Amino acid sequence: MNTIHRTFIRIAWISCAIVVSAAAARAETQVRVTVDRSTIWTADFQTPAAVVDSGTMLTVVAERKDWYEVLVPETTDPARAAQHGFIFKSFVTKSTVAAPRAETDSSRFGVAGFAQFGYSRFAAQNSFQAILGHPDGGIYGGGGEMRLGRGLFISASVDRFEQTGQRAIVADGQVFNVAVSDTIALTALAGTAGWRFANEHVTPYFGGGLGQLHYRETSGFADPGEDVDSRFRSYHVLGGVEVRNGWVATAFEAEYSRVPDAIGFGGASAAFHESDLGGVVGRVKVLVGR
Amino acid sequence: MKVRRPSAAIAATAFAAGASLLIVASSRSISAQAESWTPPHRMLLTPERALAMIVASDRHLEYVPGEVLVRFRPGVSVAGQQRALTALRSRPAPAGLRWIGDTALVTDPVERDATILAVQLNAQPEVAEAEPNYLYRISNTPNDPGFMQRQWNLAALDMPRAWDINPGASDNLTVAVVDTGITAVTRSYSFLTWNGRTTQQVSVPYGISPDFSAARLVTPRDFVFWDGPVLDMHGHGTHVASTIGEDTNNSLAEAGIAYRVKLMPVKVCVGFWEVQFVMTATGYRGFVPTDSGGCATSEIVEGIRYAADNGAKVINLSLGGPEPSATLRDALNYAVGKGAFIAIAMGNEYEDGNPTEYPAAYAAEIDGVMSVGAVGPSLKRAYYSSTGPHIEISAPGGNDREGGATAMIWQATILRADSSPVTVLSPRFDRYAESAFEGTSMASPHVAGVAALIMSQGVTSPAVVEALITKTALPLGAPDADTPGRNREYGYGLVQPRAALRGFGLAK
Repeated sequence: MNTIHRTFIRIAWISCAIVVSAAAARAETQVRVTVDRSTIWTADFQTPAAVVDSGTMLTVVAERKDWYEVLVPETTDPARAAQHGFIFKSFVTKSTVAAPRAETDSSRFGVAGFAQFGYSRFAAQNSFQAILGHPDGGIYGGGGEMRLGRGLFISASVDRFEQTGQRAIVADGQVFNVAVSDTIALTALAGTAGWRFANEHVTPYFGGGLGQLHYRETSGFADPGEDVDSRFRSYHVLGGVEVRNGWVATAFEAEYSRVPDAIGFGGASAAFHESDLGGVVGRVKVLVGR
Repeated sequence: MKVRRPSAAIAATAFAAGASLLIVASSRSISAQAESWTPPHRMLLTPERALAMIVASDRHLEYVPGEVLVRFRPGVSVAGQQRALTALRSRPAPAGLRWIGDTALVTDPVERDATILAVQLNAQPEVAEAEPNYLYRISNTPNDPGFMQRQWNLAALDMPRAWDINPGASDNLTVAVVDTGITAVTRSYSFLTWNGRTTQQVSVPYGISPDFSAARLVTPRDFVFWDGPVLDMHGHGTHVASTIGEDTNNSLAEAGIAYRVKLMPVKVCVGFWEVQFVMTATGYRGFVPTDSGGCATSEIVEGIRYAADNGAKVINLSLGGPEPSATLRDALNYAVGKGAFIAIAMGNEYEDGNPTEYPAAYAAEIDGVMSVGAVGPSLKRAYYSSTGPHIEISAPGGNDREGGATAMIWQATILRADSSPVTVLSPRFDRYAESAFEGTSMASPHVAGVAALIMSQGVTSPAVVEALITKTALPLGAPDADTPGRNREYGYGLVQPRAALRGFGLAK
């Protein structure tokens, strides 16, 4: 394991730790009630959700013209706790005191499934170029995501890449193909932990994690022992933005991964001294869920 | 076997005088016999050259007596060439020179010691380089033909599975066999020969090997005997060609490696019968030495350049000798520059002092040219196979010490019994048999055949063909400390056709 490899793992773990600690310390918008016996109305504005006295602190979820949408305090009616209600803006003043922020739609607990597709540019670009004729290619996959509250999320995903090219000889840095087929298949399983910047519709996020890459290389006229079928530990960091519209969201994401010491012991990768099966991925995710 | 050129002036003078007398005597006889035999084609093997070869054989000379190859400096005029040539006692005229590319073959009927000629010419300011017209010999040890078909050599190379990837190479690819020839015509020719008592005219039948489709023999060329059809009167060239590309899957004889390629017969070597025919025609009464003949640098160079100029993408040179030749090295570079890969026999002199053999020694310095050593069925170096830091690859060449004839290389060639100089007075070259030969001559065409398969996979660069062969070789023996990945006995190891054809994947 080389120094770069160790550094990368540290960065991945540190970013996870930062996500957790940052979420805990994050301040939220609150208002203070200035009028005794102020009414918090339910969404139909016909039924009182709660009646609060001056000095009560309320967590603002959203604004609607002259009204704040707030979380109904637990103390007034435990049955209505965590429900939303509306209070007239004139009955409150904005608080300057930092306080835990109430969860928005995009940051509170929820689960979603997703499909994803994108494009990967491999770190071993000379090696992929030699066999496939290009150093990149399309990927597709899917997974699931769980929001744990306070902006934290974890996800599990699988990506798949498969293309067929030609085996080759590399001589003096030049590539000459030999008209024997060679199929490269990558299946990447990844677990990610991250943090989402809560927003109503557009939610930036970032994260990092570990995974396993299943590398398979099969070629024409090969004996069973001549093909490659191996698994390697992978590391990644990613970031993106999610645009949500109700139950459906679309995310645009970039990922940088490393799969060190996976190749480079033979074939084109040895000729080019390339050992990493990771790379940079740009992808689009379509999520369904809350 | 290796004989150094005589350097003592006295010895050289004595030799030159003797050779001159022989030639003068022969010249008289040429005119006496001219009426009794008219060659059907213009003879390239002149009586003087035939006699010179006999003298070379008799005196174990490594050059053609009286012949020297000269390369003048760029820009030297004809007058300058004339001035340089005046250094020779015979003062040959530039107009009479035979040009091979930018090299001229100078024949001096007076001074027969070519080393002296070379020294004299190298002293002239107009001359860039002069060297004797070295005589190389084919590198095999032929044996009697047998009936057992044992191509252990192809099994050792796993050829059936290599053919799964590329069955016999492309029929658009041409492999040149620069050797004793491959008979490219079926007919008889009349020659004068000596029957032990008198000179007689005999009809000598020639035939194309039944295991070569006639359409596969392309652009044949004889540079040494005559300007007629190429005729193999030795069997070596045919045996070599059969290893490269004998017809396969035709229920006949043996298999060849690249059995679909076109074969270009390029005759640059002569043997006993060519010399005997020419000498008898001059009035020479008797048998010439059975080992008469050889391959002069001048014709080898012409053959290599001709092959490259006429589309050969692989050239096999199963010949060699202990003398270096810059002209020969230039020809190798010329052919590689034209896109031809060249396989060269390493030499069979291991037990004769193991001298460095040429042109094999040039292989290490030219990407796209490979020197080939020989192994027997055990995949151990054959006892005769020369060694040295310039060996690059090994291939089956046979080793009778491992199992007699069955351990040699079996291919179809002209029936040896029909033309053995020891037992036959009137030869025929139209009957073929599976015959066992051994030598690095037999190893080299294995690599040439594999190169043809590789080129048929789309690899066009000779240097890349060499890289594929070396990188996929099966290592044999321990690597030498000063040559990583290779050693002086086997080079990079045993050629692996299947692995070479498969190339490399991304990870393996």
